[in-house]
Amino acid sequence: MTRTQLIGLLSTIFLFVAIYFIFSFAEIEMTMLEVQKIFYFHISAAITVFLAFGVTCIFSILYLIKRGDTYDTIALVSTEIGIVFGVVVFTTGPIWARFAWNTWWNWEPRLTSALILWLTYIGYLILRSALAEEKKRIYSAVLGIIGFLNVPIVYFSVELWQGGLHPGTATKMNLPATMQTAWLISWLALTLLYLFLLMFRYRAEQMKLELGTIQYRQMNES
Amino acid sequence: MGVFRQIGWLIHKDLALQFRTKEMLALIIVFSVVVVLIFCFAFGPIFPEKLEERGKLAASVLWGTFLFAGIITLNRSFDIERANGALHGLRLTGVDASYFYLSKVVSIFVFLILLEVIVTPIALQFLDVLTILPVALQKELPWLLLKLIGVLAIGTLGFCAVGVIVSGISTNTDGTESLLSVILLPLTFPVIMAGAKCTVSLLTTGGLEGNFWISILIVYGLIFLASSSLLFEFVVEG
Amino acid sequence: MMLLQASQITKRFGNRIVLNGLDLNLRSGEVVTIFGPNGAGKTTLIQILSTLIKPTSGTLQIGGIDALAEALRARPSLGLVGHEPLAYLDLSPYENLKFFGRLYGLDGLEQRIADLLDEVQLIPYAHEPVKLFSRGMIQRFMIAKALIHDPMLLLFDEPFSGLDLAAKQFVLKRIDRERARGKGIVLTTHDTELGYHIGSRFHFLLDGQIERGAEKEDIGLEALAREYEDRLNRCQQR
Repeated sequence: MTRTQLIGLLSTIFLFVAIYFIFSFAEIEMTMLEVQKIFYFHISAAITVFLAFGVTCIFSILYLIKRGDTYDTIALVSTEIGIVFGVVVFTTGPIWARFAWNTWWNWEPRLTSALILWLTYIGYLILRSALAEEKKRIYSAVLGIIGFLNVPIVYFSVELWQGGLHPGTATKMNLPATMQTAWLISWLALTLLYLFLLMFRYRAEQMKLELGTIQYRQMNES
Repeated sequence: MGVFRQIGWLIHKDLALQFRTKEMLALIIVFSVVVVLIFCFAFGPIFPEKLEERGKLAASVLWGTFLFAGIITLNRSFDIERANGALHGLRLTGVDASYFYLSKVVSIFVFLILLEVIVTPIALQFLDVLTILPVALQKELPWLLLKLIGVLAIGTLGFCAVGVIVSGISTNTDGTESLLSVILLPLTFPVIMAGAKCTVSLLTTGGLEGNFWISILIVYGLIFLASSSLLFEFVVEG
Repeated sequence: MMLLQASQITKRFGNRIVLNGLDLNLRSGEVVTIFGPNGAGKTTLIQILSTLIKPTSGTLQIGGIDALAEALRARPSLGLVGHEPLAYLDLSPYENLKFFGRLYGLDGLEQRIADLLDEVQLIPYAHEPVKLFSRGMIQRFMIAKALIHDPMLLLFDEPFSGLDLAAKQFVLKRIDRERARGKGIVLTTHDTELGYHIGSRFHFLLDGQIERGAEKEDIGLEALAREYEDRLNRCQQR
């Protein structure tokens, strides 16, 4: 079994364990009842979004310094996975908001920062597809760095912008121990899933490059 | 010294190109006024009575308009660099990429601030903000406008800091104009947020109500000026 | 003195290999003509030699400077006449030369510009925008622009294409004069007659590789044309 498969297996196991803990172990929250259970995957996915784009930023910097195509590939696949986790966040978020605050969208700082970050990195992918092979690695690396620099500024702005309309939302909740455990396991499961997808997509990208080289060689020989 | 002279010549060239065809400034002024008018009509049915709300409306109209005008200006400026290999000619002189970056930021900043000085009073008049200002503010109207331009200037500088590096990237693609907007707009959210907040409090109280928002504008500008002048070498040289 | 030393230059675009381990040397007073059909990689080679794009691998020295590690320092010693004007067509020749001359840090610039414009017969049009010029005038302007800083190494990419006879003669004379002044010149063309006339050493660029170097003393025009034809045919059969 390869390392990728091992991580894949682990993340699957943890996902099932997490679901068990969320629905059977963690106590039911008093005001939101079962709907609150969406919280576990919502927050974990949101953290993974920041992690994924953080990885993009770091590997973009590495690419500009060392110019290894490996770094660029990791930055690319991490962005793609970050976008997918973003979709999880922005579908679970409104459901949560609908029951917690009776509205579909809420300008909570972390949610808003995630949204802006998400849009930025969708731009990153669009840019990549629009650029010629020759330059796309460098340009997308530059954008990968700039996009992430924006995060702290956006965060502080939004925090003050919505001006404490919703004091102590999901952010400052004191979780009971059972919920805490369930959340930690969900978070671990999604992080493992991220890691698995990263390795899997990375390998796929590598194979795509290799295939291109082989095709080119064959074309030349014939 | 040599550094500033080189940057100075680069700025001089940019401004010469921007003002060579007078139509460009005229076009962008007309564009901005039309956008303001569109907002006026769009908000017509719900045009607010209270100063506070009208101030908020004016702030959003001003910042939205200047954002779009800024994107057009950036696109045009980098079209000129890309056409006929002018940028390659520039690179061949051995000039440092960061000088090129800083000169572009300054020249686009100058162009936009000129636009803002002209359009802001017109927009405030169209949006009927000036007439309902408190008497105290009415008396020192020029001073208020000056402060407003100051806030616009700081925000515009931040916008240019990010805009120039993103345009430097997007100019190498085909769908340049739409692509620039898609990449640049999410990055400029803090400028819009903080700029609009400062503008609202200026228009309603004449002050800034604490330093938070103006600091956000300044910090944003500094972070992106510093990081982009380092990163611009990669954009130019590859 | 070795003006230019390129060794093992390889350039890949994705999987496509455009230049494959190419070597080229140039002394001052030499004119190297590189013959090659369209798409052979002539332009890519010139762009690499002028440091505008980086090779995938290989080394490049210009005037003893490692032009890959220190491109900015190497650039002032080379001049390029490419497909594009590498200048701002909205500006006049005078403004362009002044701008680029200043960036090169030249002394006595006014005199230098006046002399150059005189040589390329553009004095009457010195203050007209370049975009109004004919193809031949633009080519003369490009030569003036490439010579403004009196570089040791001159690169010409297809300098005769699209020119009428008089303009071709002008370019030939100009290249010959620079050679006589001890400059090193690399030029690419697919025109064997003109290329033979001006060159002192000849190479063929086929399949991404430099083939054969013949000195002018060793080969006549007809022999050269025949050999070029042969090699082209063999290359197409492969």
